[in-house]
Amino acid sequence: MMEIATHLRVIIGILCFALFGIIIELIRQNRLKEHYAIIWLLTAVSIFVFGIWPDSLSLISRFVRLHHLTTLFMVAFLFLLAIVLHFTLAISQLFDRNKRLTQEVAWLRFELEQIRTTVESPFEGK
Amino acid sequence: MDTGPSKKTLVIIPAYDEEGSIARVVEHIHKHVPQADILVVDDGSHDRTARRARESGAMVISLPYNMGIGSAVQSGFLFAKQKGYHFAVQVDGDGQHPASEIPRLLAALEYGEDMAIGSRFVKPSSYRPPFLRKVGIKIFSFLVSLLVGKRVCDTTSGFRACGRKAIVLLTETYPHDYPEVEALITLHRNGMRFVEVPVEMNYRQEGKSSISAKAGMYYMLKVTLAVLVAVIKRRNGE
Repeated sequence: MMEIATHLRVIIGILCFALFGIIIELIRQNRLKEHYAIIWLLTAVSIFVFGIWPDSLSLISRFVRLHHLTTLFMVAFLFLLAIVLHFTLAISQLFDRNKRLTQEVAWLRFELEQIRTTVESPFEGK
Repeated sequence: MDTGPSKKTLVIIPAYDEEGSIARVVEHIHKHVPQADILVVDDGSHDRTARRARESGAMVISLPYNMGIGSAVQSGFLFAKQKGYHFAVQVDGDGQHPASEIPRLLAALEYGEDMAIGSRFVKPSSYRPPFLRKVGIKIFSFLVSLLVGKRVCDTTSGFRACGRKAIVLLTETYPHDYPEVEALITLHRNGMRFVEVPVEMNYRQEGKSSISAKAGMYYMLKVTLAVLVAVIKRRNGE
């Protein structure tokens, strides 16, 4: 059994609700895409779970045979790694799309120039 | 198989700040391959590359920012694909690739190859690369030869000609920087054939190499990783 002081639980609870609220607000203001918000909402939920049910951490500690605190750091670290990987995936996808978009823009600009030349001097080259 | 001139040919010249040499390059190509259309892909140059190219009679596509040689060449492939060209030749904007050798690359395509590489090392040539570059070239040659199952001497040459099938494939997948080596594996993995054609190159009239000493390390790591990954990458359409 793992003990956490009541006031600490209250603080953790408030932090989780604050994080939740901020994320929802960011989505509402169209500043955060739902797609990327999911991982943050999951973060808030898992902190909440650890807060009200600290034994979940004990279970993991027993499983990996580490001290509570070390387990906490390990979980947090893995979580952050997952988030960073998620971001890198997003950036790679954006990179590809941005590249294709730029190439299409360059191509369209070329076509536009061609058409403009034909329209402005229709008898040239005939 | 029909003969040369009936096949639509596009010469793609990726150019980044090449105002000093671009006009001469375009003129040489015009002289040696008169049947080909010439497309200069201005890769976000800060100088008058685009204007010089247009004045010398080439078509010009201007990319809004510097995207890297791979993306620039791929823009040319997209152009070739959409305009229905049969062959696309890639020639550097700095004048190191002699236009007089283009017909020989095209001849290889006529024989049914999907890509022809203008190679510096098939026959002894006057090219003597600096030591480190030589080591890099040897490593890639070894790696690609091993993976492709036949000897490839010059994997980094950017002087190439592609047939229609290769053009379509490379519009789908082509790395944005240092694309040459990886593209060979991509081709091989998709069941296409390429051949090396010995050519003699001119060594740098204007500008400097796109690969500085510092970038050399990144080049080696990136390309090695890309080549190894390309082997296990999914084929197009899989």
